[in-house]
Amino acid sequence: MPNFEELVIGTVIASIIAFLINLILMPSFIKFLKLKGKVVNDNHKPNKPKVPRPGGPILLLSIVIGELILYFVTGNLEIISILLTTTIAFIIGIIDDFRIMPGWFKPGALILASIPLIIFHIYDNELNVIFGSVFIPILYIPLILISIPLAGNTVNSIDVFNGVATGFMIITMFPIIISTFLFGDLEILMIEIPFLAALLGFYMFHKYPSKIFPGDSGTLLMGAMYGALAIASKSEIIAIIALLPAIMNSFLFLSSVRKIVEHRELKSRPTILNEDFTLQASKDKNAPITLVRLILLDGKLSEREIVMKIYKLATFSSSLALITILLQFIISSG
Amino acid sequence: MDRVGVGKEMNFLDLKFFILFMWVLVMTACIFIIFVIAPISKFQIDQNDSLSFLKTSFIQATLAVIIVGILIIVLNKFKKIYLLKKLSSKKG
Repeated sequence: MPNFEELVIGTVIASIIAFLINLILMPSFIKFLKLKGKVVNDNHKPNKPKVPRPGGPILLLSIVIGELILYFVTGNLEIISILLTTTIAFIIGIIDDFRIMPGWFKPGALILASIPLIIFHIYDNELNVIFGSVFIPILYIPLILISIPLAGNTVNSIDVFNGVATGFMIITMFPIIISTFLFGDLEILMIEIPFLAALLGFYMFHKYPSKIFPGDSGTLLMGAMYGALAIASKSEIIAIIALLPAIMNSFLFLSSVRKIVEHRELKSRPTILNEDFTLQASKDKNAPITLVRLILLDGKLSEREIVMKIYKLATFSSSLALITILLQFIISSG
Repeated sequence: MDRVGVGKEMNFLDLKFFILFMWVLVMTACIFIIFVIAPISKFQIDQNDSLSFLKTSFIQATLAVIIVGILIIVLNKFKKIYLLKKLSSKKG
């Protein structure tokens, strides 16, 4: 077990490298994707510019290298377990990026990504539920099998505009980091920092106006790693609260469509793109209800304005998560 | 090419209220788990019997699933009320 100073130095180096890999390799990767014709239309902008996709491979590379550095410093097997979960989620996403898969594929296949967490037993047998903890050694396993597909698909479903998924993840990582600092292990906190650094590096290219889209490979790996970190740091409820806007989006969508479908399979869109490139809520009764459609019920908005609204909602839910952490801190120390 | 200013008058509190309502539901579920579901294991007759432990876990899991079901029903009702009010205020 390394001492505290070695851990801090390891984390700082891992984080800087994770950030820099995105910054250095992404421009070349963007050129490569353009050359290979792996581009999609950015439909919400004039002339629908072609944007390369997916950026997931470089994001994964930055996370893997950053976390492996940390593994060589700490020897912590939890890092390998979380990396396996993240990599499996990435593979599922990259299949979906390049092949048209049915709606059940992502949530179904993501169950596989949960398995390393169970094999390496990164979970505690006690579930932290803010007001105390419950001993559920058997129930925890199905809970993990559900959590990773839910986290992956929830983040995937929020990736509707430039930068939203990455920005949303960055904002909602802060309550997890604070919760881990107060109630979790130092070694898990050390794993979270390079992930945040990688997200920040990727955000430089994904932010509005996007130079690259993460694709399903990028969003699924973000969601799966977020879920895995929440489980490892005993911050499951905090993660649920921080992710509430995205959960709300999934809930609204599923409760209106009443089945698991891909967005491309929808006959009616939740929003309408105007000639001036603003968006407005669809008036079609059969159109699915989504978070963006609810935002647009108050009037038409530009893409950038919608992105800012979603970030504000993420900040609001993260604030609720922080209040919950405070509540837990008072209860546990009282 | 942003249309800055379009929709600036939007009152955004409504969606935050929706999220706040969801937070209250999550916290209520946590309270129920701690004060109702978790203490069930205290009633387990033989603490070392694995079959008895499995039975208790099954009862706890069933109750947890019921709670999640109730939360989804409540949230669905809230969504309908929210949309109705939102759309009627738009028409008004």
